[in-house]
Amino acid sequence: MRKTEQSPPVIRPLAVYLRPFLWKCIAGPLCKLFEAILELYMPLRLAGVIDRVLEMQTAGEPYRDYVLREGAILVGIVALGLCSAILCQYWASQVSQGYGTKLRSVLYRKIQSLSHRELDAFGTPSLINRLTADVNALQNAVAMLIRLVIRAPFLCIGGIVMAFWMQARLALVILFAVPLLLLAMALVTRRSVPLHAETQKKNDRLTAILRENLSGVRVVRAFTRTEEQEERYRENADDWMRSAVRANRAGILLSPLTQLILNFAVVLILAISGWLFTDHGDVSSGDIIALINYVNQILAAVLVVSNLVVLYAKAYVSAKRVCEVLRTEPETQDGEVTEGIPGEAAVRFRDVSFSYHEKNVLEHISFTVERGMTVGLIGGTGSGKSTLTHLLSRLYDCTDGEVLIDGVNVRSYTLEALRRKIAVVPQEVQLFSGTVAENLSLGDPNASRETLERASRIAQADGFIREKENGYDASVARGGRNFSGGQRQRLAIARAIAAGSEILVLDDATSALDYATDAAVREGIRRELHGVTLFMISQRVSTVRHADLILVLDDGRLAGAGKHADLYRTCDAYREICRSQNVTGEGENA
Amino acid sequence: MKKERTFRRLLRLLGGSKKTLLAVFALVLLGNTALLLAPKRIGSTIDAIFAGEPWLSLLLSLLLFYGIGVLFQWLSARLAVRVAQETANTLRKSLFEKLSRLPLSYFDRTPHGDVISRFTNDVEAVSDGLNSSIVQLISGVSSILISLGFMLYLDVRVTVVVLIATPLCFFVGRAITKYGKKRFREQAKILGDVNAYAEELISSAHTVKLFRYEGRSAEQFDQLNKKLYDAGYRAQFASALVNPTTRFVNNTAYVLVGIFALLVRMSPGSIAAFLNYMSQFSKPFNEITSLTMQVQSAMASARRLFALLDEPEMSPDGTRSLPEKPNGEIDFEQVRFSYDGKTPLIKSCTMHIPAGTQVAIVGPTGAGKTTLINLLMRFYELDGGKITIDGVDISNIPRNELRKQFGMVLQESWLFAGTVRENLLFAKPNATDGEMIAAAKAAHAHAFIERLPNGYDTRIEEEGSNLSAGQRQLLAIARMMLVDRPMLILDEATSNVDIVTEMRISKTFREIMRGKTTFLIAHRLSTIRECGMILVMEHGDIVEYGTHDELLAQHGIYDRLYQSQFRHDTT
Repeated sequence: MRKTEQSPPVIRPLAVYLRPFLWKCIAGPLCKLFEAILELYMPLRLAGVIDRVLEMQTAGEPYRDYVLREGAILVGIVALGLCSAILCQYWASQVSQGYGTKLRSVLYRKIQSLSHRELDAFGTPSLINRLTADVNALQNAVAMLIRLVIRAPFLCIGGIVMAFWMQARLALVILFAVPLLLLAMALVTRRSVPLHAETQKKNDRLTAILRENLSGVRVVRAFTRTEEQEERYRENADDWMRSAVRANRAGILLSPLTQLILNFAVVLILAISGWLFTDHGDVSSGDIIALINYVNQILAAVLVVSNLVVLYAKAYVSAKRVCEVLRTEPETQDGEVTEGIPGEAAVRFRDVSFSYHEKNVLEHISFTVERGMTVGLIGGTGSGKSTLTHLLSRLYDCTDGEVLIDGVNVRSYTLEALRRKIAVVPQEVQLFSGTVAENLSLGDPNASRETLERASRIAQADGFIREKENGYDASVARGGRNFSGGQRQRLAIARAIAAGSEILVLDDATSALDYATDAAVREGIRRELHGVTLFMISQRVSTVRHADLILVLDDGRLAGAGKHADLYRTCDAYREICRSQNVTGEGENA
Repeated sequence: MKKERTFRRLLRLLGGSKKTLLAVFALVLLGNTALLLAPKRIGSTIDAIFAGEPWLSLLLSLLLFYGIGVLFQWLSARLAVRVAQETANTLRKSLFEKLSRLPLSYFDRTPHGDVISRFTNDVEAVSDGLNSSIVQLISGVSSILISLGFMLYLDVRVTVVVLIATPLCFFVGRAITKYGKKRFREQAKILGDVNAYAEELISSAHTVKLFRYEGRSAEQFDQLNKKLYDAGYRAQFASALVNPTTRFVNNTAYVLVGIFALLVRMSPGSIAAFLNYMSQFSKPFNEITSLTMQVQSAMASARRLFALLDEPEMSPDGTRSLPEKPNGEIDFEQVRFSYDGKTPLIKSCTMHIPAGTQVAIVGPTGAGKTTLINLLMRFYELDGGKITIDGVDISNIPRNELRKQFGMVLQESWLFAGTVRENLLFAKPNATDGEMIAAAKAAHAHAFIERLPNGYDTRIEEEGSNLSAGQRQLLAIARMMLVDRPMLILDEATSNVDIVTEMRISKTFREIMRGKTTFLIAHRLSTIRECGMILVMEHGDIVEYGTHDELLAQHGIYDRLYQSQFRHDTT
């Protein structure tokens, strides 16, 4: 494939993974080449036999033994061709699948190593597509590389050469037919490709409408808009059909066009040989039969080549997409420290700022949290509460200032050591398919059953887990769909507790729980987890009011920090939140 | 049995374009015959040339045959494309219309991805199957028969050789494909597993990182990947065997026919013609092998489509109607309900909600608070008893008319891809700009809409992904405000909105709720206590109802809930 100058190399970084299969990569096409040579040789030899026998028949010589011997040799040639083809196909399968497997594994590890900023930039669906569809396209391309890339052009060029060698003047016809054929292919492709792209776009739109109507079925029906939606779907469906018909019709022109060219070539060969024969008598019937055979062969090969071009154009796009991921250097690089400094504050923010997409999300945040403290984070949506905790576990790196855990900058830790220190219950709970126990031991694969059960009790999850058929070995469906929202949240809390980390972050982790359960969970955590530094993000004052330190965030700035009663007196933002929830300044902590 | 029925239904689908189909048949048949006459002509021409006889007229007729054949082939393909696409389109539209007639339970229990896959992959498979099978089957069978005829005409003995060789090729191909099919099914399954695993883990990257799961998951991925390799290379090898084997049998037949024709002293022209017919004869056999696979997958897809089309539909609409402006007096009379028909949720509920009451629905997580909304809006039907509005049984009212009585905001705010304006006007397509902006202002959405790049004409991406959850909810509230409905349903309508905005919206809500029967699902005690009636739900059933003070006096579940949940909020 040709590549433009400014774009980075695409083929070489991907070709590296072919190296372990090098000799099969060379031997495969050679076998295929050998088969192609035999395939070209066979009609030639048969044509010779036909001519020779006709001569013998005219001369009245016995030809039977000669025919049988030649027949046996020809069948032998065909069989030899089969063997070498099978060998090639076998290697091609091994190499291409092996290549795909390797690439998939490398790419998967790479994706796992990317930080959130890069993952967001690529987008999850795109990454999944690259890992599956694009790797498959490349795998296919490798298979075709071994199987066809040598064979098809060879058959094409070889056929032309052989035809010339047999009958140069007749073969000129082929030289006219091939460019015509290529021209026809180019024209049809140029017309149909944009039409197909347009059809694809319309198809996406139609699917989007369907998806919306599935997810929004309650709203559509509540607003009694069913008929309008049907009309909208019908219009788009008809529109799509019209473009699909147009695109397909442009494509089906190719087959009749190539046939037409091919047939004219045959007619021309006959016409020319008619004139030549009557004038000079130097064309044999065997020649004509062989030539017509070559015409068919060459044109079939040209069609294969054209398909290959399409395949490789697609593969090139895939290669670029895969390379783009492989080339991405993750922003979060590992540090070397594995242990914090004893006696230092658990968490310290020093004038931390963070911006995302050139927008300041956090500005000049400073605070210190001692070990074992409970910290409440409160503020409106988009005030930067979650982001603040993301900086702790380095899901993102702060743009300015520094974040210290146990007196050490988070960037200096190995990611493994850093994230072992922090257990998070994210806003959106993600459970994995597997068993309940497997999910709970995600943070510490060696956690004992007792640890898991204790964690579940604290998270108020033990009860419903035991009610399941297999208890802790009950299976969890993809995304935890066989659990309710509140149950998923409690499982996530139990999972975080079971990890046994020094810092526990609850990011609005009890939003799907009712007050009673929420209160029980918080009480359990406070009672059972001694020495654990706790971060609680919430919209509810009642959740954070008892915290040792409440951080009030307002549009990315720290509007206040302190205990409930003090903040109520000094911080306007906090007082407004409290009033909206009917909470007053007094409390046990005051 | 069942297969038969699917096939017949598919044919019936095609019935609409019977005339076009007949035209396709005729064109294919004529075109094929013309093309198949050609090899014989080529043979005659060669023989004529070498015998020194006039050959030009033969050649011209050959040209004519070619021209007609190609033209007819092209026309038939054009028509076939149209038939296939039109059938697919009709199918797709009737599927969509079917969706409108399905009860909500279908949408709740069926994964949406599966429905989408039926609309896209399955419809496509059926249309592809129809498209290729229509043309290929006719042309394949006619090619085989016509070539066979010509071969017999040229030489019976040589034909026998072909008749032995070609079906052999067909059966070898079949055997390989059969082996390959098993491997392919294996591969497809594992590929599905690999994709599902990757999708699950990559979309949960957040959790994977936080719990340092990268290494362990990569190992699991490699295990699946290894399985994929084992299945994949076998499947690929099996499929890669078909071509060389077919070539082998064809080439062998080619040689055998050539040799045998020489032994029986055929003329060179006849040999050429014969070899040509032989390839025309054997080609469709190979195509039919791949065709049966395509038809099989089309049948499998068709079965999935018919299954959707056969889903039981909602009961027909009733004919009673409500007064122009209903008061909103709602009665439950011995209402019984279950989602699956087996485990009863609401066992026997009788209650009276006076017109204009604000009803709060409370209960622990998972108590089935939204069930009540499902019943009021008739998203689900009762198992027994009845619900009446102003004395009229709602199951006798056309669903659309019933739903027009309610303004509704759900916890999950649904938006569609389109502009902000289009999304708001969804509720009331003929609203004026003034009405729309007034509604947006009432929902406190106007300010943020104005800040969007194109204001009310800003495009919202699919499912509103370019807005925050809070903004989406504000738009959903504005949409509801645009229509003036006699009754309201607010299912945690402000759960994603920030605290200050929420406070302001509550004020607006209080105004629009005045005098209207309203159902509220809310967490906040102050809201609940203000309501004229509180419904307490547990395990899907309505267990208590009454005013705040009445319920406290009962010392029942509400009292317990109140003591444990709301104690912290009071002082």
